[in-house]
Amino acid sequence: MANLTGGSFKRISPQDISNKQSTLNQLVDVVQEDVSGSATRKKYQVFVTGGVGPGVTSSLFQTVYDQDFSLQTANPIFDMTVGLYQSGTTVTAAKTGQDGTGKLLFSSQSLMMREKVDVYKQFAANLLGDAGRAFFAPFNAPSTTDPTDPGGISNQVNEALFVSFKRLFSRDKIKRETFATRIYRSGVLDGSPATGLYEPGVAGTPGMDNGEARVLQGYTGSNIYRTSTSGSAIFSDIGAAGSVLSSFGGGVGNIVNAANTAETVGLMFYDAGTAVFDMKKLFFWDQHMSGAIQAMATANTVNGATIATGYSVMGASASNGKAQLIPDFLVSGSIDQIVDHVASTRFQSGSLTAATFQNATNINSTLIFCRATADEFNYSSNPTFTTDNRIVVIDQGQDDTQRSFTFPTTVGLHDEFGNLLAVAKMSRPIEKNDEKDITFRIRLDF
Amino acid sequence: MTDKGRELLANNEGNFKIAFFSLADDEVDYNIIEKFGRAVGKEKISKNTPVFEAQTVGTLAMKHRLLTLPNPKVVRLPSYTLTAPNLDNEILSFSANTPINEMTVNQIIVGQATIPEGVADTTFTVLLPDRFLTLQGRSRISIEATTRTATYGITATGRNNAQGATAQFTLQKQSIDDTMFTIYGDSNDKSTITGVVSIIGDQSGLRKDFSFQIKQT
Repeated sequence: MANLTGGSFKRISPQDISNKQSTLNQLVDVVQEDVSGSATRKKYQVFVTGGVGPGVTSSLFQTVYDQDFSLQTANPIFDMTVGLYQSGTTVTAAKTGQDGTGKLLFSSQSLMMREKVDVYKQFAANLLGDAGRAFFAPFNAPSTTDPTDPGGISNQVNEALFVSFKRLFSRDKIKRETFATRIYRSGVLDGSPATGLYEPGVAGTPGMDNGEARVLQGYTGSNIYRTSTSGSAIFSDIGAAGSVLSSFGGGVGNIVNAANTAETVGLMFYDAGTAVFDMKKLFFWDQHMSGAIQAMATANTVNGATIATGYSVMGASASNGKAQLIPDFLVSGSIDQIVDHVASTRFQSGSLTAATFQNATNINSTLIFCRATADEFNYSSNPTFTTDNRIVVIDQGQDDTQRSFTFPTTVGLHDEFGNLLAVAKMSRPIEKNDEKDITFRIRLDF
Repeated sequence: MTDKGRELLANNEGNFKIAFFSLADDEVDYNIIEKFGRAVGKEKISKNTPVFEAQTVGTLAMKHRLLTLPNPKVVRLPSYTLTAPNLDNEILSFSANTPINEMTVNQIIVGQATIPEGVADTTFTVLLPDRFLTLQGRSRISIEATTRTATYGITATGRNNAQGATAQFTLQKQSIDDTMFTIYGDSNDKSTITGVVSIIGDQSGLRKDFSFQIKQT
């Protein structure tokens, strides 16, 4: 606090203070490896089953970080989870009933079905204003078959992949028509149970044993955790700036296939920073899936192979040989397993961009004009300004012709009581003399 | 934004109101003008003076303010002299036996009969580290939370022949235990604490800094 009685303070008139609003955009890139790597994807295993075997633990969502999340410098980029629409085909087909309290009942081969439904309902409540409503892609499309899809998939999003970008990166909102992501629509080939290539003791191709056949045909055995290497497509919100849609949850746009903009695979809620993908459209939903998944099971044997307790095998002839991504994997896998599969196999694991967008930060600025007239601030209390009390910038003997000058580098802003509230620095010293008036424009951002 | 500015914003009482501005030139060395002349010296200051980034501590952010004087032909500015019984070479000494020091600040000018109009002070601001010193018989105006620098106001008690201000005040050593000496003592002599006191003329903006030493015994 300083006393303001002296000649080193000047009052700022109200006319010299104005307010302005502006927006700052930043480009955010998410690297494939950050999404796929297990060290950069944090789990919160809050779900625990009881019953048979050791039980299954799972998160309700996972968070992708920009580096090893155990490091203090790691920044969370987005949360990822999956949800199922309670009246969608996957849930209704898997449902065995409903109890008196309205609780959905499912068979023991399913896992976390009620949690998946609850996740969907939570996003629907937040983004659509009604937990019971379904997302539609395109947004607000009627619940009819998508004519652009040869498979005849409904526009209703029954199996959703939710990606919620953290405020640290999405800031006030995501800018329209800046979002893009590279998704590998197909998983790796795992072999077809119809040809029996996987099955011990069943002939594959004449003259070859099963192992040779698998290698020659690119089959891998299990495709749940094998990173997809082909079949990528770019999906973006092309056209979202020209067609401005809004919802209960704020601004929304359609996420479409960049190579075929008539193919809508999801929605981007810009203000919430949340992308909702229709997994049935985003991925080759009917691709065969095989491999061991966590389950409430004791140790067992499938086709001669011993399966450890706590696991079961999907996609083998002895256990749902025609298992598909949807509905089988989404019904039988835990949320952690499904998110692990999507994150580790469908975004590749290289150094390319997995997703990108521009954020928007709304900035409120106060502009303060500090006006120093010609006769003001021409002297300094700097100790180098005088030698034996003589002002050094005036040459000796030139007292009548030369006038003092200064080189301000700093502007201080004070309140009525002399408290220094803010400090502005210049890029270089600026000369102030009795022939020059200077206006310093200071911007305070909030 | 300084610590104080952020504090007032956080208080949410509407006290963050900018009303005044001041200018400072802490980085500038005006001796360059003497060495190179006005033309070249100005160029050198303007182009060869790096400017530091802003500081958030209010008492450190602006040390040397620019002044507006009513007379544009002023060629000399006053300075301060300090006198105290235990002041030697601009270092004021305290010990267990000398816990207080009575000081006199005197505003003088050399080569001119009287101090120019506008820079004769009537009040002073004293900044001192509250952990170690206090101004006897006076209440502090404020204290900086992060640095514990206390601010006191004192009034000039008279005028000297040059019409400069004179003021008296008494610095008193705070109660300091052995642990404080261990923590804050000089690196080469833990039985001595060294610090700085600043006196700033409220009207002139001129400043006088001096060191103090507190001995453990």
